[in-house]
Amino acid sequence: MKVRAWSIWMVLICIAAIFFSLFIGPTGISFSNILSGLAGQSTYPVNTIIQDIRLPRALLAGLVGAGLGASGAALQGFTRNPLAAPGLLGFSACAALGAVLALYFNFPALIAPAAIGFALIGALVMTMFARRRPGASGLILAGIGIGALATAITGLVMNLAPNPWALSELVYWLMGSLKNADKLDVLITAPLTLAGCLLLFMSGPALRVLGLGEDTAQSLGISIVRTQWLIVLGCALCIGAGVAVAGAIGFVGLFVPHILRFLTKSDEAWLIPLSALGGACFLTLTDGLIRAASGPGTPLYLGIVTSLIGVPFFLWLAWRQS
Amino acid sequence: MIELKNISVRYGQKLVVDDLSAAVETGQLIALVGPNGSGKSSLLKAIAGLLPHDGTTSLSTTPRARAKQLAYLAQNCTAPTHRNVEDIIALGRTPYLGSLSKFSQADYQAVKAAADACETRTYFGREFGTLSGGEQMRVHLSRALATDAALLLADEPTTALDPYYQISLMNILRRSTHTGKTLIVALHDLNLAERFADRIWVMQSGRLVANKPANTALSENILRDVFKITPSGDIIG
Repeated sequence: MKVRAWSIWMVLICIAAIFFSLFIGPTGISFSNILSGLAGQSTYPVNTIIQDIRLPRALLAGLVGAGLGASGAALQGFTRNPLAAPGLLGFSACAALGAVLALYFNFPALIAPAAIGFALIGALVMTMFARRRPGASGLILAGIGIGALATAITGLVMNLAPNPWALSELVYWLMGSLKNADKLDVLITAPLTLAGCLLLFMSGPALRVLGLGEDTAQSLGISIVRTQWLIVLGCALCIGAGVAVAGAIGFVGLFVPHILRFLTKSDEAWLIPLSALGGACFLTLTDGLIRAASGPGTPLYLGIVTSLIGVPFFLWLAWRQS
Repeated sequence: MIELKNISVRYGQKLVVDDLSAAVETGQLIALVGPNGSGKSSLLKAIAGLLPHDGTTSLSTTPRARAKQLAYLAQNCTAPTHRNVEDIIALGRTPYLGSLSKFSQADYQAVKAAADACETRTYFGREFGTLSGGEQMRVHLSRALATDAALLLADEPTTALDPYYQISLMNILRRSTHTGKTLIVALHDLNLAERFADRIWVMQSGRLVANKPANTALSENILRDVFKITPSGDIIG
């Protein structure tokens, strides 16, 4: 099947996954009631459950997953490193640090701007450090260094938590979850994720040429610096917005592009949008399964489950590479 | 004619190309020879605009315009192993494509012509990783020729190839001068240089120490002083 046909299938699967997740919750709602609830023509509680709780959560899972998938594909393409992912290169750690600082200083309203702001600051610092050596190796070194620093400061903030409740709030938040998703979160996340994805899509044609090596790509008129900026800013927007509303979600950016790579024959111009769709499908379905599996007293955290799925894949990847 | 004026390249304090000036007639094949570390690769990268350097060339200084004027074949060419051969060759048309523009008929023609010149049409539909080293180098050369640039810079393209593919590749390069292309090819094999080039440039410690017709450039003195070998191929000292 051609990659265009796969793209159409992925869009349909994404829509189906979002629709499927509207069924999941403690209150059983029939198919016809979901449709009328979406149109706002059902009874009061059904309209509220669908429009204010389940739909925002499903859309948010899709948006966060899309940002993670697109970021992972772009970073793997730019660094030509199969292990590159937003978590490895410090984007997630910087965004998480911003959110943790907002929680620590008791400004919950500032979690979103702090996460996005710190992701952007991290991206700028990363680019500044990588300026002397633009390209894959410079970005990897700068990204890992800044990510380690952000993780260390996050650890320090947790270390200095004033009481066990504050610490547990930070820990739970870092596990990643969409349980508090609402319409406002969608309104914050959607424009930032879409803008970030657009920047990453724009880098696709250059990444396709970068597969020939940096020297060859430059000789063909590709600007490494421009491509690096598109990717760093695109990732910062996608990951910052995602961490702001869902906490740290690991491994999606690593394994979704790997699964889809064979469909596109490593053509990044297609792999990035396809990974965005794949990430959206995966996170929407995983969040749906978590809601179905979670009991009232035992909430499962999305970041934990994605890591539990992702780590075996990561180990398989390492085994196959060796 | 391509002119190079006072080209110097530094890595930190180390001068690797030292005030080099030369000119290449259109349609000539220049073999750039010299011992390891003599500055051949750095000179080619400087001409291609890939390294900061002093001095000037007659090529455009704008990356996009220069990309149409010259094609560059890197020393260690690479390509994604799962990509199809025709997709890799098509990347040679990148300088002519805008962000949203599609392949034109002229682009398709250029790809086909380059593939015909390098006899890589039969590889179409195959993944790059399934080809042998010699076949892969032909694909890289097809990609470079697909740009249809007036100048082709090739950095040791015959290294790691068996004799059949070395001679086959040099034949392709030689033939491309018949269509008016100018080539500067870094080589380690002095026999190939003497056999296929119009002129030979000999580099030593960043300086151009000889720029002569191929049949006279590799004199006994050059072999002794630059390469530390005798005409019969023995090592001196």
